[in-house]
Amino acid sequence: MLSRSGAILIRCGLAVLCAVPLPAALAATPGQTPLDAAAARAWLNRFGYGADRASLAATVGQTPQHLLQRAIHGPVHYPPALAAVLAASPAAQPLSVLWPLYGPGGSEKMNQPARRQPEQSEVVRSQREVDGRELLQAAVADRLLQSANSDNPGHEVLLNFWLNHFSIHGLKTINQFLAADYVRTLQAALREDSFLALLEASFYHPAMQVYLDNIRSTAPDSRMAERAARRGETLGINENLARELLELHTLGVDGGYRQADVQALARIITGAGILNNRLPPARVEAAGAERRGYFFFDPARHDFGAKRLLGVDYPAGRGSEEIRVALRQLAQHPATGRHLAGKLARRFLADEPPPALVAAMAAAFQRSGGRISATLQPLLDSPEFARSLQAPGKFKEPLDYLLSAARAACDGQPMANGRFFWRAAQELGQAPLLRSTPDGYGSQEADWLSSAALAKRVRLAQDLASGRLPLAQMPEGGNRRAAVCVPQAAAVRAAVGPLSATSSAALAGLDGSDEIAALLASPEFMRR
Amino acid sequence: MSVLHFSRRRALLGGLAALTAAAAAPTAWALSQPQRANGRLLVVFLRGGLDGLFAFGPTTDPRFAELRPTLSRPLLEGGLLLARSGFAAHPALAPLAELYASRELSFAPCFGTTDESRSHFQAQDLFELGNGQTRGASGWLARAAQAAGGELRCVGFGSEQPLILQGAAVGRVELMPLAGAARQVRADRALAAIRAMHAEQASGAAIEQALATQSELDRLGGMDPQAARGANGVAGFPKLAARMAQILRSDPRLALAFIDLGGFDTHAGQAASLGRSLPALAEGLLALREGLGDAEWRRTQVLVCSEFGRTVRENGTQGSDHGHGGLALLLGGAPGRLGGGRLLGDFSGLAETALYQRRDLPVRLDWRSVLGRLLQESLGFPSATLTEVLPGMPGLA
Repeated sequence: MLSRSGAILIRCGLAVLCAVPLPAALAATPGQTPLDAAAARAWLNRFGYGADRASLAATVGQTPQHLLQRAIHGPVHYPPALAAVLAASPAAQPLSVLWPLYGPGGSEKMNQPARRQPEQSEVVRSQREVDGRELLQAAVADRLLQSANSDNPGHEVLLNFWLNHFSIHGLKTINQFLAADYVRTLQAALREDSFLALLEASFYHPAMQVYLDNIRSTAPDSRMAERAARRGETLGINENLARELLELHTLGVDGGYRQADVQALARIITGAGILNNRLPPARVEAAGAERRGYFFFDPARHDFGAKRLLGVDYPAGRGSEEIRVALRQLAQHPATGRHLAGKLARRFLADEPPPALVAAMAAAFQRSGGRISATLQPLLDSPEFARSLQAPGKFKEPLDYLLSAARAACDGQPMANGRFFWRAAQELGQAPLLRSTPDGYGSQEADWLSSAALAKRVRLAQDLASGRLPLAQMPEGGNRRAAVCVPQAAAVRAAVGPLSATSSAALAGLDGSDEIAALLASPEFMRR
Repeated sequence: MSVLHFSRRRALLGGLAALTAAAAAPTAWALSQPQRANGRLLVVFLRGGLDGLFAFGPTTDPRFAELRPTLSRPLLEGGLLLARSGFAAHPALAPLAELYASRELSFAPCFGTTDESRSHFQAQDLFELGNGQTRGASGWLARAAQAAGGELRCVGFGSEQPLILQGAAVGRVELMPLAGAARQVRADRALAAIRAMHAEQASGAAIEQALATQSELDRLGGMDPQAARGANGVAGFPKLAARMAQILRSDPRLALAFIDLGGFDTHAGQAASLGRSLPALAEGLLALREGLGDAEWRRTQVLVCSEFGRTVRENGTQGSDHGHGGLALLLGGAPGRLGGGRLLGDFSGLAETALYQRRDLPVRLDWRSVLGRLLQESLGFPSATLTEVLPGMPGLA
């Protein structure tokens, strides 16, 4: 597959020079073939969250390669009404505003009662709790609204993929305040088209340091541990982040690391943590300290001894520099390419992708120095992928289902009701930023096809079809009747696409909201 | 004695024991034990890796305090002694200590799988697959449901289908979400079409199951919209347990049941987080017992365990990291061979040489040998069936 596309690149260089039609056998790697209507719909459900009539029209005739480049590098637009909602969201506040308030040593304390108590609450909430809840809900809602309304849905899908790969839990201590910034930080890294950039963006973000308990991990022979010992306290190592870096973020559980590597990596990343607002400037600027945003490397907690990680020696005394070296080592490890290739292929092709294709993707990852687009190239160029666009068979994850059903129902009407999406995603079990375990949500049919899940989907289809859900409702309220999405049968049919004979027969005679509910709950619409 | 015998053998055979011991296991065991085919097995799976030593700890071992300077305190200061075991229970687990005294609970401090990865997810997969491997087509509880066949029912309490319940024939395993929105699928013309469209597919079977479950739960008083949403946090367990008991009691054919609870991955500040989780766990188990009533409690066995235990040594942040052997609790009103106020498997102390890779509790009681015994006692499975459900089982505990 790769050699074929490679040959074409050599033959004609840049795509623009290839105006002369090539013989069919050479011209058409699937990645360079314009999408027809069926493939465009499938593409929008694969590298997007569903098709509406406008996005279908815009996607037909585009090539997968172009769409992938656009997903990584292209601009993202939201309908003006939604852009205004997002700009006014509490989650849009930069971390430089939030950190002095809610970061460690910040001015907003645990025990200050909220100025305005939430309704229906029996206990008195602190302002900090109220703000935290509001900020996290806004972060989750904004991510869903962006995914639902984007004109560059491939970008949203890739961003959500990496957010899920480097999963954090928004409810872990101060992560409520950090979740939205984590999204923006990974988004910027995605634009660099580099796995290492994503890995660093995640590792050096306070939300990951907090989530996997690295902020207090301290070398037992460090200055800080020695000071603590004089007070009768014991400080030491916490392995959590080191293990998940190896197991989940890079090499994968079968990647060949051992417990000794977990321990070495845990020692390497001692000192990595977050900035305390009350840390004296002298400590912040001390020799060997490193500040990156609100990430802070404190040499007083670091293990300066020599280490050996996955067969590579780390000489003593390097400090924070060795973290960068280690992250690069992990990103370049062959097992990392295999791990990521398999995960991408399972997300974007099938639960059991062809091993040869996964191997080709892993090789592309390695050759390109971990470029995301290069890793996906063999997938887009594979005949398996092209075939899958004509006969989509992968069971939609809840988020795929929710957003594609909403898109079909609203058909271009801006969806601004973050509260609806946030609650629906939670009920379906896949709210972004709220996975409690670090493995992220699964992408397989076995993860999601259950009786309870199907009941929820049927119910959602019935609710959407009723035309009473205020999906377009603005946060400040307004006319509720104007804010509903009333689905149109033609739009829903276009979103669902061709039906099997069984489905067509079952639909015969249905009309109005019954037909729409049945289409949205059809087996065809549950797969992508 | 068989437990001791087995674990010594296992130590001799090393890591491959799981694969090789099945053939050598004395198969007559299964038939020689009293059977109680009219039983029920409920598995309460604590995801995240419960620190068993924090819940039930060997307070008489002098190294306990030394290895766990802060984490040993609750047990050393207010632990409830568990007679004849050298262990004490965390004060928040007082109800469980009482069940131990009344011989309705026993515990295994070194229970576990063959996991060597210390990965939550790999270890959970191993536990749930029950085939001794990290991959497989079905979970052991699904296979048990399949083997039980006939009238018996197997239910998972929750809305996602965990690996342990995957892979059985359609209809053998049911899911009952106990919490979440109380809205129901409407029986309208659309629904009839939806059922017809899905009829030939796995999704169709799932929809039929969902509708059946909906009407059954409806009959029993609907879902509780107040209870925790989605994944079950342990905080909501007491409420869920009462509801589970009501459902289990409503149909004696509900012979296999499963629930998982999250929130046990305690790398930092463990005393506070487990200080909240353990009372909820104990309260829930008690609610289950009360909800079932004496007669049903006598035919029920409950296994409570986690994917692995945690490091014996406290880590640097008043927590513990991923380990190996962990705690299993067995509860029931008519304890069988594994029941009744005692320590199961053996425990050889906290000396470094007694630990797995010098850091974790070893596994002295293979999970399959416990599951096999429980299935044999609850459902009367003969040994051939047990071998199908738990391939590689190294003999019954």
